[in-house]
Amino acid sequence: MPFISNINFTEGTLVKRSLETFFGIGPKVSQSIMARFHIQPWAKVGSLKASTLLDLTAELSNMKIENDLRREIQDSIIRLKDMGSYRGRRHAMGLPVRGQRTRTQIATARKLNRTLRGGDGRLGM
Amino acid sequence: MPPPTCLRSFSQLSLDSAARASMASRARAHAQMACFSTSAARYANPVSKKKGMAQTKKGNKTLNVKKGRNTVQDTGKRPAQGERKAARKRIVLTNDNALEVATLKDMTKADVLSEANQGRVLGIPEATVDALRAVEAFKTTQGWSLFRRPATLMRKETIELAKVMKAAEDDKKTLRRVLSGERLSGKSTLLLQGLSMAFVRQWIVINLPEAQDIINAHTEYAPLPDSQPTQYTQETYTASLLSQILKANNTAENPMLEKIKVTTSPALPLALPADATLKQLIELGIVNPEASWPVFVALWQELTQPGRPPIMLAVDGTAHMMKESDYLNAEVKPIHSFDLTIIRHFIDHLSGAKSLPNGGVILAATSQSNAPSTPALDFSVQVAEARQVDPSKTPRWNPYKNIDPRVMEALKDLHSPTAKEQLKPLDVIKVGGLSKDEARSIMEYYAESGMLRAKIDDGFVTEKWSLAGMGNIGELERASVRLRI
Amino acid sequence: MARGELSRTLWSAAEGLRSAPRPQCTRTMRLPYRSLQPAARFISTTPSRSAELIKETPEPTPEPFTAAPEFQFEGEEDIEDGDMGPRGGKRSKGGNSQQSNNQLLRTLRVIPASRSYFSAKPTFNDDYLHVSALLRSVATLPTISSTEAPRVAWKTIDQYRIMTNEPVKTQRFHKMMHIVKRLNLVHPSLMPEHIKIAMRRFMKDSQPGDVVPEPQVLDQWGRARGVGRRKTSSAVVWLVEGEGEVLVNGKSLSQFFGRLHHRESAVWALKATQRLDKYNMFGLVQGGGSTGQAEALTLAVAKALLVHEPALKPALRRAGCVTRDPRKVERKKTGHVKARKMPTWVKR
Repeated sequence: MPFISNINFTEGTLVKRSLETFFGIGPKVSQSIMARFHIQPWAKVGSLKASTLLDLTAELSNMKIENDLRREIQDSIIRLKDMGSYRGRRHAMGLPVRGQRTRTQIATARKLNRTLRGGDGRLGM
Repeated sequence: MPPPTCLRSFSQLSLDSAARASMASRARAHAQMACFSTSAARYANPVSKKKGMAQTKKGNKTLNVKKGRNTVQDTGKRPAQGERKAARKRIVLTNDNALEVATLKDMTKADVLSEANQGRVLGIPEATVDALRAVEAFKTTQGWSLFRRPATLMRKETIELAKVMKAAEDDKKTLRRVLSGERLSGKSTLLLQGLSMAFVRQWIVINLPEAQDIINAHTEYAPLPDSQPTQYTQETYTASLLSQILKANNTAENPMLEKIKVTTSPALPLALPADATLKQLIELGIVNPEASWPVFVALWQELTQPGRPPIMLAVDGTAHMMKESDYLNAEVKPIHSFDLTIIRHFIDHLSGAKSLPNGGVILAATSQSNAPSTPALDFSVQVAEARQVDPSKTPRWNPYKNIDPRVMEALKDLHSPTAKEQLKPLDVIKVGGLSKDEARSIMEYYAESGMLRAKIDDGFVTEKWSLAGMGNIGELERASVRLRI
Repeated sequence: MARGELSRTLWSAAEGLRSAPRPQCTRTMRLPYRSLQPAARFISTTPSRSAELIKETPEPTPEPFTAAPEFQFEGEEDIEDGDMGPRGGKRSKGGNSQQSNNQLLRTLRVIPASRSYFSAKPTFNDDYLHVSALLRSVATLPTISSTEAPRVAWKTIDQYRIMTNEPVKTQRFHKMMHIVKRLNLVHPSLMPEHIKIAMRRFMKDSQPGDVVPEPQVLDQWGRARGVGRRKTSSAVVWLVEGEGEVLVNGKSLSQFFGRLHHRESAVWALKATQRLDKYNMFGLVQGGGSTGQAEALTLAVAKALLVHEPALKPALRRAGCVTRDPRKVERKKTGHVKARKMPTWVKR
């Protein structure tokens, strides 16, 4: 069972998919990481060499992902709120921040715009 | 109940005492359902749904459009991993129901390259079939499974290729040919014929069965150290290529690679025993994929030593090579196919940058069904084809098409005017339609195999020849053997 | 008779009365009173039958007025000689003749030339009587069966009504046409010329076979050209003698048509007549889909082949290559979902 950044993945998982399980890594970032370490897009975790896995772990440890990233986002929102800015208020109210309409279609804003944003996720690290 | 039914049932009741019970029960059932007036039902309030209770299904099936609801879990056994791919890629070369063709002769080493074979159907010898299987020259789309054993028609283009091979063998020339033609015109089969002739003549054969597999980023890649600009090796693919080379060229009849000793001292990351044979060298590369590329380079160096057999280097689906691959470099830019070592090796030989000192033929077959758009290759092939017809009339370059300058450079010999020679080093073999004699010959073979039940006369041959688009062999086979009505 | 024709004939009659200096009828009785301005005595307000029957095509211009032919005057030439001389010489007779002339004038009346004049549909009645008379005259001649008789496109009732300007009843018209068609059955070698002329009145202006298409010929390079259409496709084919090569829009048959069935139908005319190895074919097709294009080619090839070998026509017809299939996609109508389909009808 290969470990990437202390997370265990089954051997059959695609490297791309396993990287994208980290908060803060999407398709673009995972593609660039894999290109940097010369991993083909359809590579599976089981086929990676141990050295490559270590490299990946080292790379991920240098990146701001998971809880670090969550904390940064929450800090920014709290900063806005403490300033008493409009954006901070909107965040606190759980309403759209960037001038969208509020008559309809604010489900996403209700779900996401809160002061402790991104609170749920892989926290058991 | 409608009156006639009523009357009939009553009359039957009186007539047939045996059926009385059933009829009576049916009549009762009708009576319960029968309703002379529908108005009361229509004006009644609709039955309110009972909450919390699933509605029971009555009577007819209804269309269940929603996914995932009430779907039946099928309990059938799933195919094992890789089983479906194996079934898809399975190559069947015999048909027990087809008749043995008594007159069928095999290719022999003595006369396989002779011009007298034109228009004959020749069988492929057993050993060669195994070797061809090893280099994956047979395709699933080809009709090998229709006949008793693999046999091919020595058509005009085959003889042309045989001449090229003869010249390469005799004069130790390096001749390069691009096979082009319509869909189903037999380009891959001509490639296979070239490979089988090479096997029969005991050449070293290296075949890249499908260029797409090299560039579609399904195998590992790594930058080649000390290369400028950076090239990329494919360890797994190279290792499998080495095993394929070993399997195809080191048969029981002709253990060629076992006989040849390593004479140079290649720089390998792994130790090679002293006085090793080429077979041992290759096995080293197969066992250690990370060393496969240096092993391949060493093998090539060995094969180009003087006194070694000629080499046949072939690829199918050339167009895939002539574009950027799906691999990405460290800067997240696509890697050009020419920067992959295997493809660069092939392209160096196709473009004439490197030559084969012992003579040999480089074959590149194009495809019409699985080909990305490569304007540079298309243009080069068009120019070469036009030049064969009339050297003064060649098509002009379309400036609105986006060409790949590296491909244009590699195929320079194909589209730039060259000196008039009998056998040009790089040329196109245009695989066209069969002549009527050839068509007749192959149809007689079909008939003798029992796969075509018709009298083969001029009218029949011409009809099929015309319907197959002036002798397109794939269409001919489809029309006469596959689509028998 | 409609108002227009009546007024026209009346007008022409009045014109004849006013302007004609001499009688246009032959004299049938003595005219004692010379001093009287001689004029037409009997006026026909309908045109003469025979004149119109002989006329080949009805003219739009009003026919010249002619009176009833039986009327004849004596001494017509005297009136023509001069004004004074004859009148002066014969004045002695003047007194008597004036009296008798007055009597004559009292008995004189305008009678129509046609006996059908006072019927509701005089032209039609005249026609009917005329063809009946003609049939009586040729009733004894040998006839041929109706299948062998020359094919004639007869006028429809509407066309006849427009020609005569009379509200002819359908049944009566068909009765007359029955007679006319019987006339057509008279053996052609014995058919009198005047009956042929008479029948023209009942034929359409253009007859089937009038327009004979110019026979196609091979051009200077030995090519035959044929045009075919089917659905919304149209095809042009050039056929030369050769060995069975086929190009459609510059592509080979197998490249152009993916389905074997379409390839077969494109060259079906050649295949059905075992000519596939005798000709080379070059076709241009446009419009429609594969099936339409293939079957447009069939028709075009058949037509081109008929230029080379006209004797193949029955064989090609048996193979179904000669007839143009006129079916097309029916247009969609407003209020319909498709051409015929109606939206589902729901009460309320």
